[in-house]
Amino acid sequence: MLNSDIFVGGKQWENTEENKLPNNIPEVDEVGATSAPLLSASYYIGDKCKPFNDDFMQCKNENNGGELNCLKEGRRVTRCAISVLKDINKYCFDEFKLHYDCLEQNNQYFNRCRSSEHLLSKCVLTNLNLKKVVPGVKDQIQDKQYPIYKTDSNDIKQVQQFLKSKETNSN
Amino acid sequence: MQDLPPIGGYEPIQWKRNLPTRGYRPSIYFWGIVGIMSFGFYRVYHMNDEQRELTRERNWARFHLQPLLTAEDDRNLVRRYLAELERQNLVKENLTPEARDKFEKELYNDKSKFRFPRYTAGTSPSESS
Repeated sequence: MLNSDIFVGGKQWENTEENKLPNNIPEVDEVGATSAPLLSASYYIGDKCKPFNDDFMQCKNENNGGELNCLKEGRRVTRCAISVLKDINKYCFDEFKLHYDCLEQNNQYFNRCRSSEHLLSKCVLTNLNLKKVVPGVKDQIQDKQYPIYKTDSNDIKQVQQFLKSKETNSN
Repeated sequence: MQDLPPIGGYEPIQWKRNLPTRGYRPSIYFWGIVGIMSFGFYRVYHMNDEQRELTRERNWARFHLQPLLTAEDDRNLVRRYLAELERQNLVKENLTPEARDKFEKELYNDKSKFRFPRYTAGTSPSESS
């Protein structure tokens, strides 16, 4: 490698650790979702996992960072988030995909993807009974009827296509 | 003999310019601009309101995700810390008693809280092959 020839030290120093956690700490699956799906599901995760999240953050707050002390709470948080993502994938995968694809295409702006968001929230509400609520205000921004920052036209088109194909499939 | 004005007086002098007036009354332009700008500022007011809400929405999305991201990162930190302890034990086996005492000396005198090691004893990566 050119890099190692030029610089003194001459060794690739990677900041990684190959050792596994010891066996007395129970193993847990990692979430493994990328930013757009996580952002898309964030409010549903927050709705369902609020007690676990609060528990974890409180534990960390009381234990000065609490990396060693709050592993149990952390595992609960992760398991809960995974369960939400699994449920969404099971019942609303198409709507979910439509929304996070849109977020991915639109710089992860929520306001550009309202069409698919409404579709997803309807599906999630009927199947999982989870609701997106931004705390602190009565008029939710996602339900604003005539927003100034408008939905991406591409998103509207894709949602219409999706609804049409769904109708033809059901007939 | 004195020169006198003509009988019946001089013609009236035209002192005013005789140009055609262009456009509307000035007040119409003034109020027109005021109207357009008021509408603009009205829109800006509502846009700012909406932008603030969008920012809040974005922040709350992050707040809901933060515990799960932190939990994952903490697990990684703990894993690295425990592996570091294990490695230190391996190093300790081959040390003389004096060197071992020096090696085991605490980095921090303050025992009120736990700190992850920022600096550890060991060989630098350039020396180890």
